[in-house]
Amino acid sequence: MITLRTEFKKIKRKKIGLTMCALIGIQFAWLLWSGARPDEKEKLQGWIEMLYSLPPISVIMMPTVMSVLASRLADAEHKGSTYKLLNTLRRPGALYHAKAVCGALFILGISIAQFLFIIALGYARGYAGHPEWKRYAAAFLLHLACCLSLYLLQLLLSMLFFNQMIPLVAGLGGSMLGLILMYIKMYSFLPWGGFLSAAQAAMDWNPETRVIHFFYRQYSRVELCAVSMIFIWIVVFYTAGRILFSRKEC
Amino acid sequence: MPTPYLVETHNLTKQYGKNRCVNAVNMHVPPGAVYGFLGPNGAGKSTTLKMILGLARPTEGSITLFGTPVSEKNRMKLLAQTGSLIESPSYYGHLTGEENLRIIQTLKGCSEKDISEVLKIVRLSEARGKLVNHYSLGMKQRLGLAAALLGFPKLLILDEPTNGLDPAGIQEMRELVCSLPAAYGMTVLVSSHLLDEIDRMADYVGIIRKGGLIWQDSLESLHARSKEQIALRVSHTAIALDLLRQNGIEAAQEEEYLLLPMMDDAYVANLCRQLVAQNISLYRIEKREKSLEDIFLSLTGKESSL
Amino acid sequence: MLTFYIRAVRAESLKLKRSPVWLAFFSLPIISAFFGTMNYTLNIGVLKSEWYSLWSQHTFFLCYLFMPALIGTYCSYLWRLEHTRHNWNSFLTAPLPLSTLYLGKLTQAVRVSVLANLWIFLLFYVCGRLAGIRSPFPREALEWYLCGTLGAVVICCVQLLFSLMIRSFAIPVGIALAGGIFGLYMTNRDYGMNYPYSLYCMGMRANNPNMEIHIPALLVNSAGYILVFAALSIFYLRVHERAAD
Repeated sequence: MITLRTEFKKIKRKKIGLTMCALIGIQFAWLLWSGARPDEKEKLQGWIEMLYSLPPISVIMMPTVMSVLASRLADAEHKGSTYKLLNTLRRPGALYHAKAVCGALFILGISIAQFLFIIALGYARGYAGHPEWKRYAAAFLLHLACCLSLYLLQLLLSMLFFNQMIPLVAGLGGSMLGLILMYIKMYSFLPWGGFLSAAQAAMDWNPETRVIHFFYRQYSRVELCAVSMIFIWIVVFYTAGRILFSRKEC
Repeated sequence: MPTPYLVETHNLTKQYGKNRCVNAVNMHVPPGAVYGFLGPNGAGKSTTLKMILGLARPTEGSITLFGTPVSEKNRMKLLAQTGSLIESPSYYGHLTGEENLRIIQTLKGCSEKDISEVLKIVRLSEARGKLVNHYSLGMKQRLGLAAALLGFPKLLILDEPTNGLDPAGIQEMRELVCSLPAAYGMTVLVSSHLLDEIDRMADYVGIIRKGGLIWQDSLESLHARSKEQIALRVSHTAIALDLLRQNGIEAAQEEEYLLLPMMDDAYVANLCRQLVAQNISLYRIEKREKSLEDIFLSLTGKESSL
Repeated sequence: MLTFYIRAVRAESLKLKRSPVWLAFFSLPIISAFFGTMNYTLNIGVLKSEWYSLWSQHTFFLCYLFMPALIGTYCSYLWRLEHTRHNWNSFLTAPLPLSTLYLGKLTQAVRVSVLANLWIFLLFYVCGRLAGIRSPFPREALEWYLCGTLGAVVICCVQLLFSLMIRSFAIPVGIALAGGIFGLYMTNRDYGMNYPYSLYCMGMRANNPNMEIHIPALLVNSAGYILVFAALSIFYLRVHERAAD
């Protein structure tokens, strides 16, 4: 707990919150733009469509947002070369844990902001009825888990390499991979595909009538496995990070 | 008007917010000297040196280097004749020592042969192919000095060059600094918070305290301020003091000693005979010197001890 | 002046030794080209414009989302060399004009952008042939390349300013990503010509090879942004006491 508090103290003047807000702001702007001025038909399906359009945006943005967050938190030590000092003060495992939890709290904050925004946006646009709360809750939790898995991966990379270009390029590459997997409809077990595997809504497009129909997905067994992979990644990345970090000779 | 000094500052002042961390400093560094810039930590040494190098802009005052007033226009020409090592050494950790020097050599546009030579001077020839990340702090410091020496500039500015070195390294750095004026005709401006260090390296001394230059002259004249005295310890201090004063000697008592001004041997012998004649036993006769430390403390005030 | 510039460029090249950061510029276009080509061959029924269809598949994501951020990481890397290990002291006491020191950095960023763009076009050609496109390689590609590279230089200048001012490695990269995404919106609303992050995509004709653009306007705007942001960086170097921080 003390370690966590110090972690927050270290980032006090680094404006991480501000950076995250700016990046999330772009996402809000995107959402505002993409579904602006819905007609009556679209309003009927609005709540489902919202859950349909969120994952692709997350795939594009969140890996990089997470790499920025992780790099920012890890960089406090690289810059001052304080890893050595900290390791004499505290077990390296505890330090790693503190960084993980600190990031997780940021992610929680970001995710709450994101979902409050889309719900407010939906009401403001006059979508029919209310959101399906169960689906929205599931989407929220899975979004949180996906972000966490990516954050832990990035934290691992950021602490391992002094050269921060490596983790940030990995974040970009991950975004691209996830995006392309989505594009060619290959749902995946990779960490960057998690947002898509976990998507709550799907779309049905009839080429003849040109009618788009959104519906809530029922997971097949394979898809359920893909969703569980998100949680497996969290465990794997956390453990790997903790072990590697403890062994690291700074 | 040409000046006899290699580095001259006039009313040099730096203000951060309300804090004047360098206040109207008039520094004079004669050519060919090792100028020791002495002051407690936080007195404004680094800031002064940074202003001389153009790394910080003076709030007020001016600087003359090599007899030319420093301006934005001639900054480059003056820097080309200057080598510096400020605070901690600069280095690119993913490169070897030699590659680091090659970067500076390229930027300075000096001869490639200099690299081997400065490596030899700082005794890093064997470690030239090692990544600087794997260097010890002392080696990094020596690499920083090597980088400053590249091109054998007329003026070398070293800020606390012995920081982080072990005793052997400190000794070596001192000897090196002292040898530079004779060997390469350099003028060295070196800062330290250690009086003893400046005493061993410098010919000229400037003492800075709370941003103000409070004393500046040759090291000899600093030493000259140290007073020599004769100290006596006797069996009956009070009687002896009376006797001395009757002889017209300005004596003072300090604890169990009597302090007398310096006098020649014959006079001392005569005094001793008189004391013994009065049945006063002599225990000690010592020559006392007021140490440099005492002088320094009297200049800077006791609160900012070194 | 020229000798100073050459010295600065040479010193910057020496600093980049042993750090294979160009690998990122090599590998990301490969991923993009691989999946772009795959998507093209899978949807050959819908995508009938051969080279033009393939081009949009190759470049859409790469140009809008990834190249700006990738250039951003490279610019961050270039300045991070000075932000760490007290290197501002030695950087700023080098006996060169500050403008040439800056141009040394810019040259490295431009060099890697020029090569990355060339690589993108090479991959485009090879993938096209492998995908079985028989028609001749479009002549306009040279124009796309030149305009696109100019747009990339604009991003280099903007990102170098951010990375110079912000000590953090990651934040400028975040800005680049946001800038690129916002560029998608700006291009869509026809404001692209006035927005620095859009010029690259417009020059490359990313996603839409048939896009009509006014070339002189593109050239003038790009040159304008390059000059303004380069001047701002040099001004910042001169005014801000970086080494005193």
